[in-house]
This record gives sequence, C-alpha cells and structure tokens, in this order.
Amino acid sequence: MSAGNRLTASSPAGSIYDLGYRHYEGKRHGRWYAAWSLYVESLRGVWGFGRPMSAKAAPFILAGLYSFFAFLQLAFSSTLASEISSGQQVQLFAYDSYFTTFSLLLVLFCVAQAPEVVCRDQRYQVLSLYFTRAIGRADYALARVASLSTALFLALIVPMIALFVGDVLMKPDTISAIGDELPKALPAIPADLLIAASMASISLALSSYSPRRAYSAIGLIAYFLLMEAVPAIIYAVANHGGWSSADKLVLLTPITSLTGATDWFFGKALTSDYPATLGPAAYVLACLVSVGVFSAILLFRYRRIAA
Amino acid sequence: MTGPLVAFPEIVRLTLRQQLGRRRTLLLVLLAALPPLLALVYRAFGEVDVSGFTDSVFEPVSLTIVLPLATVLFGTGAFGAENDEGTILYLLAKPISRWVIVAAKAFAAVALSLVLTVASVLVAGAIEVVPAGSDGVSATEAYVGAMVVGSLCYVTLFLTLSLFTRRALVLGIGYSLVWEGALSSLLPGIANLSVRQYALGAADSFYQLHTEAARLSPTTALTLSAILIVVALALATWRLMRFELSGSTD
Repeated sequence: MSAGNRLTASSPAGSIYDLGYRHYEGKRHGRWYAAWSLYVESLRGVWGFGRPMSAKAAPFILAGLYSFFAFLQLAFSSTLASEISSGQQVQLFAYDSYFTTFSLLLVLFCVAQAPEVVCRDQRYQVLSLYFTRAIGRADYALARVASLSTALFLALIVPMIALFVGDVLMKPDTISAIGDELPKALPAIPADLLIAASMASISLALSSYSPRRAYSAIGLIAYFLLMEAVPAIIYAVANHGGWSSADKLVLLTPITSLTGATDWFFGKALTSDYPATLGPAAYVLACLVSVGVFSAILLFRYRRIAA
Repeated sequence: MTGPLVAFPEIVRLTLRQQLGRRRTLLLVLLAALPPLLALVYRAFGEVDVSGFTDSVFEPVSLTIVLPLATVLFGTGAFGAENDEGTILYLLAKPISRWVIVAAKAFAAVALSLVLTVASVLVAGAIEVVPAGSDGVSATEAYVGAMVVGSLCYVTLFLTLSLFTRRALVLGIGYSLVWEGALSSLLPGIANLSVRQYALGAADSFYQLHTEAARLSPTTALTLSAILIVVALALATWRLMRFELSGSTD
C-alpha cells in the first residue's frame, strides 16, 4: 500500500487509535461500510442473534404469535379446501386484513425491541466510541431505523407468504392459482414496507429519549395507547358537536392510520369505523409524513445528544 | 411515638421525596390531566352525556391507561429507586421490622397514586358529568371507587413484584395490557384474577355499568381485592426478610 493512503496520528480518521506505536496498514472501508456493519449487527440484535437465549425469547415469541394464525391456516389448507368445495362458509384470514387483526402483537414487538436497539448505548455511554469512528451521528440513527424496519418487515411478510402458499394449495390447479393469487398478494409488499418504516421510526424516535429500557418501553406503550384512543374520542365528540374538520384528527393515530393506508394499497374501501370524509389515500400520506417527522426527531436527538 | 411504628412516617417522607423529584412523576401528572382536558373538550362542544363520557373516557382512558401506568411506576418505584442506587442496604441495616418498611413504602406509593388518579377522575367528573344530575354524581363516585380499589391492589401487587424480579415494570404493564386487556375478553374466568375487574366490580356498587363491563359482584370484588392486598404485603415482607443484594443489570 502506498504511503499516501496510510492513516496516521496526523490524519483525522486515525487520530485517536493510532498513537504512533503500531500503524494499521490494511484497507479502510470507510463510512458506508461502517454504517452497513452497524445495520447488520443491529438487525441481528433485534432478533437476539449473538445474544443469550433470553434475548431471543421476546422477538421470536411475539413475531411467532403474529404469524401463528397464518401458519395455522396453511396447515389446515387441505381441510379448508374440502370444506369450501362442499359449499360451507369458512372465515379465512386475508392479506388485506391480517395486520388490522393482529397489530397489537407488532406493537408489543416494537415496545420490546426498540429500547433494545437504542437504549443500551446511552446507558453504558458508548456512543462516543461510535462517533469517533468513521460513522456519523446521522448514519448511526438511520442505520438503527433501517435495521428495526427490516426486522418488522420480516415479521410482517412471513405470514403473508404463509397465507399465499396456503391459498395456492387450496386451489386444484397450482399454476393458475399462482396467477390468480399473486395480484391479490403483491400489494402486501409496499403496504408492509410502509407499516415497518412507520412503526420503526415512531418507536426509535420515542425510545431514544430514555437511557433506561424499561422507561422507554412504558413511554412507547403510553404513546401507542393514548394516540389511538384520544384522537378517536375527540373526533367522536367534535363530529357530534358539528366541527367538520375534526376528521383530520384521526390521521394522528399510529395504528389506525396504518390500517387505513393498507386498505389503499389493496384498493379496499374503508370500513364505517373511519370518518367518511377522508379517503384511504389520506392515510397513506399521513403515514409517510409520520415516517418523515419521527425520523427527523430521531436525527435531531442524535445530533444533540452528548456522546 | 414509640414501638415498632416509630420509623413509619420517616420512611413515608423519604419515599415521597424520592418519587416527587423525578421527571416521570411530572409526565404522570400530565397523563392524569388528560381526562379533565377531554372533559373540557366535551363541554366545549356542549355535550353533557354521562354514559357516553363513562364509556369513552373513564373506562378506556382513566381505568385502562392512567391507572395502570401510574400504579406500575409508583409501585415498582417505591423500592426500585433504593434498589438501583443501593441505598436499600442502609434501610435494611436499621433495626426496623421488615413489615414496617413494607407498610410504609406501600402507604407512600398508594397515597401518591390515589392523589393522582382520584383527583383526575374527580376533576373530569366535576367538569363533565356532575352537571348532568344525580346520575353523573354516581358515575363519578363509581370511578373514584374504582380508582381507590385499583390503586390499592395494583400498587401492592407491583411493589411485591418489584422485590421478586428486576423486570417488574415491564411485567406489570404486560400484565395489565395482555392479561387484563386481550386475554380476559377471550377467557371470562380470568375476571377472578384481574385487578381491573375488582375495580369495575367496586364501581358497579355505585353506578350501573353496562353488563359486559363488570363481571364480578361488588362483594366478590372487594373480598378478592382484600385477599390480594394482604397476600401481596405478606409476600413482600417475607421476601424482604430474605433479601439478597444483586448487581445492577438495568
């Protein structure tokens, strides 16, 4: 390696580690590689890989419960197929309503795992070690969000795949069944991407404000419960009292907005629980804005935090 | 004052001071201010609706969110702060009976949670439902009763839990969310083991709740809560008599 590439005590990137006794002569991968490594390691951390078994319990139990019902339907698909062909009414889980039905489990997943991702670095005061490396404050925050989003996306997409396989197996002709089912299933991918990004940015932005995992978990629960309940209550009263723009309040809810956005991706009409004045597209917009706002809060937090 | 209770007021004062200076207590006050604010919103739109306000604010906000969060933080915080900072050693090294320590800690935590939750319900009730007449008064009384029974049971339960595990905060909130929230709608038998149902049962003696809300009769609810409080305090005392210091693991 040429002398010009060497990082020594006088060059900025090596200023702390190279004390002049022994130089590092190998390749330096730089900022993007460091951010990528942080992303991969935190993704493993969310699922508890590289940690003791007790760290794997919460993510696997919650994500497992979330996809359990889809796998149940897959396991009994042949029984269900014979019941359907004999003309019986069978209540099946569908791609467009699965998240709506079981969203509480994913909220609990976020509550359990988001503090794991961001709190410990603050509690043990190791952020300065990250920030003296090639990685910047924004890179750190974005890598963490990306890893929790990916973990949530995996948890979301697994039951969709199980439902898809089950639905295909229920039909007599596999090839034409794939052709039938694929257009119905594909909107799940962008919908789940939006759900994952939104839930991950909300959870990390809020939990990064406490170094203690337990307190940030409580704060997250309080946020999700209150923001679901309060706008709905105010909307109900205000709508009755004749304030016509109260319907916008429903856009503040985290989970209800996401289920409304899911309906837009699947081209479904909203149920009567939603205000009739807003179309599903408004919820997609609200969710995109919430991803932006909470990512900005997270970036702001990490720009100001004392490392 | 002489006898075993001489240290009681001092421990109460100590615990109150530990809890009141914290940021999370301030956040809890903001949380408790929510039902009165919602009551103001109701009034602003000219709604005086006793059963509507009971069903959409008292039950889902006061009883489901404010009460469990306040009690879990005060209940686990009573010993939690001393445990984290290691000062519990100095408390236990004093010649004070362990049951006095438990009773004083529980008294302080219950008092804090009562002040917060009862005030929240009273103010919200006074703004929104009391003007509606005697029906509104009894609805407010019902939820004040629920807050009293709920605070007593939850705080002693979570205080005891915090002496047995370091994850009491998360376990406590998981209990109220998963066990009392999601599971009890699937398995009605859980009502006998749910503080939420004890509180609703107590409320039912003042005000006729809708049928699926209170599953236990007032007598059953009060008996079961008395048993819960006594057993929890006894367990906490027993645990404190065999206390071992452990390293802090968050």
